[in-house]
Amino acid sequence: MIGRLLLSNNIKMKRSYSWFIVVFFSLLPLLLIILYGLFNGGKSVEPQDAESNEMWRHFVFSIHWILIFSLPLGITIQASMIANIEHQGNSWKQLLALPLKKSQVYISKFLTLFIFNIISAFLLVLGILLTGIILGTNKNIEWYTILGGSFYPYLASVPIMAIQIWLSISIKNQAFPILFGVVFGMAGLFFNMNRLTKWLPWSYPIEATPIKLVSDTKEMILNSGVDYVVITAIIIGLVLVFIGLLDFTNREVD
Amino acid sequence: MEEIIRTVNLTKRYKSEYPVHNLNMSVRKGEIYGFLGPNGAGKTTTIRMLLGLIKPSQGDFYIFGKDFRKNRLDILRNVGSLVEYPSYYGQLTGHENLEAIRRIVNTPSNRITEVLKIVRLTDAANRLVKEYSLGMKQRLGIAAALLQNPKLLILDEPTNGLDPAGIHEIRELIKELAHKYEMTILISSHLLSEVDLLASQVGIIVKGKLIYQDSIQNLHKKSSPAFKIGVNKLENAARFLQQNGWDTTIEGDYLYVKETNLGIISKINEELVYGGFSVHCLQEHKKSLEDIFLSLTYKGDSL
Repeated sequence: MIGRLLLSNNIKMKRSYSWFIVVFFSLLPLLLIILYGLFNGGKSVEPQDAESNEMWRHFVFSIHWILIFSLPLGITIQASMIANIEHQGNSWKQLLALPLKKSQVYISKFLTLFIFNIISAFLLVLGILLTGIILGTNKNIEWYTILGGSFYPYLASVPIMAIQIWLSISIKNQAFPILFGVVFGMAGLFFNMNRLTKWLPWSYPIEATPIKLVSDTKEMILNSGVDYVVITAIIIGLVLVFIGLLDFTNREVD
Repeated sequence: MEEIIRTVNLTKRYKSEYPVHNLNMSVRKGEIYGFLGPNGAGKTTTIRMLLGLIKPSQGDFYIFGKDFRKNRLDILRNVGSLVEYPSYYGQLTGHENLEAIRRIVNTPSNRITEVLKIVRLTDAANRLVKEYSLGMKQRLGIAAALLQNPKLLILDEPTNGLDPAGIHEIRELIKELAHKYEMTILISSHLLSEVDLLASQVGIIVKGKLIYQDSIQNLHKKSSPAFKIGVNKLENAARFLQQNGWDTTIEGDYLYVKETNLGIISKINEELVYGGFSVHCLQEHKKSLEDIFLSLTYKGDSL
């Protein structure tokens, strides 16, 4: 049934420019980094003196700093888009009077958002590879860095996806979920600086990077704690999906 | 006859408000059941409960003889519905709208062509629904409700906001569905005249309570015809006729006798004239259904 609901969601997305939005947000960090590089004299992206075998790491590292802002924004907009398709034409009552479980409807909406983001991560991988090769960073493609740099932040955003899809489905006026998503998305970096707020979902994508910079030596090393961050995020995300689902199934449909 | 819908003390409560209170409704197979009531009487709340969109606070209901709580999916597979203002995906064509629902209910794709034909939207199937008129959106909603080929069709105010031509179209469509496809139909409306032309059975709900449920014929019978007589010396004339053994009442400036046989009316007239009264009006008077509806809903009002 969830498969059929996903197919149904897919046709509902027609002419809603959803693919444009997905592609746009997935490639936004890349575009901004390229622009940054161009304004910086068109030579390279980050530290000019970087060793060429560290270029991939620097590249992915730079992208990560933009991704931590563009990712929650993209999720916010996409969640709103998915929910608004039902809000717009008063379709919830029609949909939920069909012979299906309410929980399946909710899960299908979350999965649509999740699939959008997995596709975004794929597109980012392709984008990084392509740009890197064109810019001449093609010595030993560092697969782990590129794949991790793309997928880890997206996977660590599952809790944000759960929160945004819940808000966008629950509140008809999409201005509020969008406001919420934008404000908390921007605050993520600051949440990450404090020991307590570090546990808030908006802080997870910041730590979900395969490499980190050692500030003393300016060396790029592997981030050993990333698995822990991503797994924690996914578990918390699933719990949040479940809470949203309980709320949705008990809610009266208007 | 088989009961398609039966509600037992169905109640919806919000704090101290009872939008629906101890409603006992019975819809039998093959009927077009007109669910009548003024705006805000609880029609839509009842229908939302029947579709499982909201949960009853108390009471049970059975559809196709099955307890809804335990057989929701089973029941909904055989129910088509249209609740209040139409639901649609504006940026999709009519055909795509139906396809989005068909993918969920999993009927063969040629069913879309069939239902489009039934609601006469075949020509508009490839236009975007946001360009549709309200009547077309409403018909698309009915088409969506028909996709599963339901045994029970629940239509909440399907003619609300439509122009006379649109109302006529929907009415003809509903008649056709009932007769040709043998569906049981529950249709709610706040206009008695609307239901009168369609329904075989009526239920009237006022302030959450079902105050009347019977066949439309019996509702008509309530409008017991009488003869209206215009005469001078009204009270004397009334006394005179009562003495002669006729059931006579005074309402306004006229006398009313509960007789419609023209022979008898002539005789009454004769008696009046010979009794020295001058008669200036003799007219059959029939309460319209609207009058009955108003008096029934007014009665409910004072409860």
